Order: sequence, then C-alpha cells, then structure tokens
Amino acid sequence: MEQPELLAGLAAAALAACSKPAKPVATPTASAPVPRTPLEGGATPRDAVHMLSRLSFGPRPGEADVVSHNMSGWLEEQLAPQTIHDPRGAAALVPFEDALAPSDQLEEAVAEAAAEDGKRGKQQERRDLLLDTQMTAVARHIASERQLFEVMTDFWTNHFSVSLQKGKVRFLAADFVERTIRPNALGSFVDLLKATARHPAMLLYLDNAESVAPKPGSKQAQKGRGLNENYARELMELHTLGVDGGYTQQDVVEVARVLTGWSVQDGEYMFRSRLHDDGEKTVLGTHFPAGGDEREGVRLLELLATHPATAHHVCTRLCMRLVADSPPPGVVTDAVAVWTATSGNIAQVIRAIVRSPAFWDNSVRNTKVKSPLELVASAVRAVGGHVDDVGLAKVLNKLGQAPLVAPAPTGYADSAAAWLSTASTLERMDVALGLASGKLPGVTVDLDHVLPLPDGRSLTVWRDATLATLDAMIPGGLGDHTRATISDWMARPKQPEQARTLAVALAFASPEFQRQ
Amino acid sequence: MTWSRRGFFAGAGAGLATLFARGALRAFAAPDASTKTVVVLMQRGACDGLAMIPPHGDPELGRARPSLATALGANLVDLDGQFGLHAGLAPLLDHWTAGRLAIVPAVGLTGASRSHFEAQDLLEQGGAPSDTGWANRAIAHRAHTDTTAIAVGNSLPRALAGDQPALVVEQSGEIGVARKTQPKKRDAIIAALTDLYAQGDDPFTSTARRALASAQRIEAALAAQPAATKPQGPIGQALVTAARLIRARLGAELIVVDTGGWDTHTAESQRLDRQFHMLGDAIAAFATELGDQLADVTLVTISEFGRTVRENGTGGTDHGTATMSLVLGGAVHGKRIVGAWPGLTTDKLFEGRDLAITTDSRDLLGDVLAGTLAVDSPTLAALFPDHAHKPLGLMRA
Repeated sequence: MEQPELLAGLAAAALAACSKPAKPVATPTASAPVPRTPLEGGATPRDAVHMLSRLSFGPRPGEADVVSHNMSGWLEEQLAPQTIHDPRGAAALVPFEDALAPSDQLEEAVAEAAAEDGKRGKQQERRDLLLDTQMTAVARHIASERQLFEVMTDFWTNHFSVSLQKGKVRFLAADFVERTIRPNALGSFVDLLKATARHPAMLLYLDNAESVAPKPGSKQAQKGRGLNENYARELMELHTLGVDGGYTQQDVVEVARVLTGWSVQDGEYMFRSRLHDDGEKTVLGTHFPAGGDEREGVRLLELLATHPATAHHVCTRLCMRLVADSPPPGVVTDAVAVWTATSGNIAQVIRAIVRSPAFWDNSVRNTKVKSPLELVASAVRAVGGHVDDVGLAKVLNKLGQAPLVAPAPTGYADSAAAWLSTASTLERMDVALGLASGKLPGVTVDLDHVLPLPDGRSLTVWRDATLATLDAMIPGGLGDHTRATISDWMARPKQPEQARTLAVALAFASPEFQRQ
Repeated sequence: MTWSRRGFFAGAGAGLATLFARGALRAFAAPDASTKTVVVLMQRGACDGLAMIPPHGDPELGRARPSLATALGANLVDLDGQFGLHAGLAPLLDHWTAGRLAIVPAVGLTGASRSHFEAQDLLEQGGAPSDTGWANRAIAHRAHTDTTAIAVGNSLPRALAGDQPALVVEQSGEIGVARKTQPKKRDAIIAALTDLYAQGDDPFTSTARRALASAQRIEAALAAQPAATKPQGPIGQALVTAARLIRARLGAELIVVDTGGWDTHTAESQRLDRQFHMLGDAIAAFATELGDQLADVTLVTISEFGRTVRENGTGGTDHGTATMSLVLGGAVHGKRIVGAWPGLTTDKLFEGRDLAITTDSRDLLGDVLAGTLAVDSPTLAALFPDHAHKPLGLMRA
C-alpha cells in the first residue's frame, strides 16, 4: 500500500537531519525547489549508473543514458516487477528449468543415474543438478528485465541461506527459492519469514525437522531423540533479531520448543502434533500458553517479524547491500521508520532507502567492492553477453560465491573484506581475461558488435573510440591511470584484435570495475 | 614477435616491472635455511581411523566390523603388535622404523557435532566460533610475508581465512593468471596487469598488486624445483606441490593441503583401499621430495571426526567421533603411539557407538605448532580459545 504522506514527512525529516547540502543544480530558480536527490530531477548518466549498480546487476550498454531521463519511473517500475514484460528473463531460464522439477522427480533422476552408471552416474547427476540449480539463479540475474527483483531474490536467498550440499536439500533448494523467496522478495517480510520457516529445505537444512519433544515412552523417546536448537538460534540470530537482538540462550530453547513438530514428510512441510511440545513457553517475555499447537509457531514468527530489533537488523543488512558496507546511520534510520510504519513492506523500505540523500552521497558511490557474483554478472551485462550453459556456475564456484552453496547458515558476506584475498583477485583477473578473449565459460560475447575493429578507421581514431566505449561500460568511468595503461598497451600489438583483447581485459580487471 | 617490449620498463610501473624481470627473481628466492614448516593434511569427509591404523591387537575390532576387518586381513602392516598400518600405507613403515612417524590413536575435537560442515568449521575456526581460522591467526602472531601461509587445493580453507594474506596454489602447482595462454602473450598480459595495479592504495589494488607479485614469485620458484616423483592421484599431486614449495625456500611456515574422498558410508573396503594407497604413496613421495629437508618439516593428518566402530548395513561406516592421525617429520618423537587408547568394548565407546576421544585435535595441532614453529602458550591460547593446551610430548624437545 502506498503511503505518500508518511514518506513526504520522513523525507522532510531526513532533509533537515542531513548535514550535507543538497546537490546543486546548474540554474536554480526561486520557483523550482532544489532536488533532494537525482530521482526528483537533474539526474546525470553517472547518477543513473550509481542507481543501476546498486539496484541491478550492473548497467547494460546504453542503459544508463536512457534511465537518467526517467530515474523515478525506472525505480517505480522495478518496485512493481510483475508489470515488467520479461521475455529475456523467461528465455534465460529455459536451458536450466529442469532443475525446477518437483523434488521427488529430481531425486528419482539421481537414483536412475546411480542404477545405470553406479557411483559415477550418481555423482555426475548430482553435479549437473547442482550447476543447473545455480544457473536458475545466475541466468535470470543477468538476463531479466526485473533487475531489482533479481537483486532482492539474491539478497533474500542469501539472508535465508540453505545449502545444496546438505542431504536432501539438494532436491529442495530450487523449490525453496521459487516458492518462498521469489513470491515475497518485494512483498511483506512476515510472509517471507513464514514461507521460509515452513519450507522443507529450511527445516532440513537447519535440522528443525529432527527437533522433537517426544512423549514419554514413545518410539522417539526410546531412540533418545529430542530438541535441536539449530533453527531456533539461526532464526533469531540471522533471519530476524540479529546477534545483538537481545535474546538469551533460554529464548533459544523456548523457540526450539515452540517449533517442535514443524517437520517434513515426503518432501513437503508437515506439522507433527505428536512430536510438538504442549507445555507453556515464554519467548522474549511473551507468554505462550500450553496447548498452542502449530498456531503458536505462527504467532512466534509474527512476534519475531515485528520486533524492533528485527527492523534494525534487516534494514541494516539491506543498507549494507544497497548503500555501503558501513551504511550512514541516517539511511538506516529512514529505512527502519518505513519498516515500522508499514509492518515490514519490503518495496516501501527500498523506496525509502533510494529516496534518502545518503543513497546518493558521493561518499558511498563507487565504494563497494563487488562480490564475485556481482562482478561476473555486471561484466556479462556490460558487454551484452549471452549465457549459454552452466559454465558461469563453475566460474562462480571457483570464485567462492555460487548460489545456494554458502558454507555456513550465515550466507555470503556483503562487505569487501570477505572478497579480497590474493587468490580471489587472481581469479577476478582471469574472469576479465576470459571475457576479453571470448573464453569466459558459458558466455557468448559478440565483441565485434560492442567494440568493432578498425574497419578502415585509422588506428589512432579506433583506439580513442574503443577507449571511449570502454569508459562508458565501466560504471564510474575509467581513472586516469587505467586509461593511460590501456592506451599504452593498446599501442603495442600489431594486430588490432589482440590490442582489443588487452584493452578489454585491462578495463574489466581494473580497480574501477571491481567497485560499484 | 607480435608483442613489442617497448616501454616495458618505462612509466610508473617501472619499479615493479623490474622486479619481475627473470634475473631478479633469485633475489626473492634467497634460501632461508632456518624456516620450519607445518603441513596440515585435511581429510575432509571423516576418515575412518580404525581402517587407517587398525588396532589389530584389540579383539573387539573383528567383532564390531567383521567384514571390514576381514578385508584388511593379512595385508596389514604390523607396527607394535597392537596397531598396524593399512596395506596402502606400507611405504611409511621405513619412517616408523626410523623414528620419524608417530601415531595418535583417538583424536577429535571435543564437543563437535557429527555434521561434516559444522565439525569442519569448528575445527578450522579453532574450536570456538570465529570469523577467522586458527591458521590465519597463527601467522598473525608472527613475522610473515605473502608466502608464510599457503593452501594447496582449489580454494582457501576456512582455517586460513582471515585478515592475514594467504595464498592458494592448485594441486598441480599452478598459480597465476592466464595460465593457458601461450608464454609470450602471457608475459605481456602479466606485464600489462602489473602496470594496471602499479598505482593506488585502495584495498583491491593493493591486494591485486601483491597477488600478482606473489604468484610470479611462486611460479618461478616452483619452476626451479621440478618434481622428482610422480605419485598417482590428487593427494600425491598436492603433497608433491607442498614439498616443492618447501624446497623452494619461500618462507612457507604453514601449508594446508585439502583432500577428499573419506566419507565411506558404503563399500568402504574398496574405497579406502584406493584412498590409502594414494595417501601412502603421496606421503612417501613428499618425504622423498624433501630429502634432508624433512628434518625441518612436520606433516600431520587431521579429519573433522571419525566413523562408527561397528560397520553399517551397506559395507561402510557412519559418522562417528574420534579418528586417528599420522604425524611425520624430523622433529617428531616417532615410532610411538602417542595418547591413550580408549578401547573398543561397548562400555568404552562414546555414546555406545564411537571411538572415544582421548586426544583433543587442538592439543595435537598445538604440539605440532609448538614443536615445529616454536609457537608459545599464549599464542596457542589465541589460536584455540577457551582451551588450555595439554602437551602430548609428540615432538622432540
């Protein structure tokens, strides 16, 4: 639901609190108010590049110019993804959509491969399924017109991290993203939370399916089964309140008791009343009377979703992704205010973040080191590349950020420190070299189209034109040193094609392209 | 020649480019005879210690796992009447006899779960949740360069994750960019990238600059240390690379080698037969490659947990608790079983099913680090928080 009055009020408050002067415009007049942000007018292509680098997987050739004339329109359209016609996104999914088959069919396929070709067949089938599942994410992230939706799908998939490498989760993770993350990625946080809590992938990944309160004398009691705190803890620490969210070890135990019986049967969610703890519980000071059954779990999730600590934790995470590794406090405050007023309406919160002057401040632009996924996706988009097969998933596994295989429930890091090792920078250089030489696995690039060879032009004219095109491809543009280096090295090879390879490699390996 | 070298030494990148001229590489690779090295061989997937070093003197072994014990049978290499080596590890017998090989018979991380990912994480974090790995904290506590800590494998293991620089070298010994490009073009690409990162102090640029320089240095150093052996399989390849890195005298103090294939829920005899032959050949080759330099090196095998004492219904074993470790090196007080043997009778088993832990993994690593790299007690406390080091006497004083 739109709440223009509220937003206008917040905007005024934020403006008053903003220490930096608003962006000056060339010819301010008494009647035209100075725009607070480029959304309201006076946007340059660089402003559009900034918005696209945070709310999409990077600009396509020419996109920033177009968007700069319609900043607010682009944002509103992206906040309502169902209104965007998306044949490219749909087509990109086609080669990998087998991975979205029901879990029992996926499991059967592995069993058949094992029957036909033993261990080798089983491993091959599992490997194929893993890569295809990862590509259902990567292919759409790159090709879809619904870019903000894809960014948020990635954000929530990581926030509610599950791993394809844990048991039967390998057959359920794709369904988890399709049925819980995607339908709610720009919707209501409480709906999203409830959907993830009931999905078998999450119940199995964090062991809640095994967590039981056995009745005395039952089979489970004889087997020594009992409470498992894994999901209860991560639910509060990672999904909602945050590690400093004020819960205690006793709260963890009580939450685990509330969620006993939330289990899995034949690849689907099932509440097992027999294994549910019927006693009374207290979570964060809230009393849950005895006999609450499945409903008390729903009540618990609502309690956690609407808790102030959750607003702060999740809004901070959002601002880390969309604004800066250490987001300015003002933008988090704006986001929290809208989160509270709208009971966690994700689209409204994102709108508030983007409307905050802090989002546009020079101090946050081009400061975030791209994660490997952002690097690869933005590189392919920048040259208008086409994704063909699972090659990119292999590249991302090597770079350490393939979808749905984060090594821990915390998911992948959203800040630079995690992505800057010597090994990963060497891999990033190889990605740039691969792109430049047409050898980036799984990607077809028509370099002759994007960066034509001289074709009769003088080499000097051609080099300048190539450098200008590359400059436009790199969000934020090329710095003087990079430009000089490219210029220098382009002049060395005799063959223009080799000069172009070097130039593209240097541009995409440049420090400028590693940031956004 | 397509590529002109014109301007190679010109411009802002001159300083760095000069360092990469082949003749100058020797300056980097100046031998440092005082460097000692710990090699940690991670057996990911939970290695069955009872198959690696069968306690054949314990009559319970045959009762708990009749078919597995029979398969081990006569090929087992006896060590002391109580314990033996899996036949695949026979090449290590000479090291045992020479007193360079010790065995820790019931080792594990106290309090770890039976989940691979949790137990590996916890072990690599140093026994307590942390953003950084114990090995990364270890180098933080000493004077270090980019080549003080090296991972051999596909990625940086959690143990080496953290603030300090650590390099990854592939099993084959390959490192650096554009490895499949023909040499002349590759030289040009590396020189161009070196120019690209010659200026600027932002985190990416400085890391990239360091990465290129280290990769060049390691690549050149390894090229000067060709392998003398050629053991089969990924473990052999990785350990030969580790030995070449040590021989190259790059100052590597900690090398982590990742190995897989240990999660033997089914058909364990056949699978471990392959694995242990590969491991035995690999460690023997490692020692051969090092020659006298083995005196300055300690290799320790470690796994996140062991496997059930009883065999399961599919010719394998399931997730257990304690496993065993091999410790090889010049400073190892070898030809000994170090640490108590808990026994295999049901009342002695952990939760009635697993070999019980008598040696904590942190004490094993602590002894190796103290005995090889002279890591002191306060430092050990930082590597393994909330754990007081209990010396095992594994190493020679």
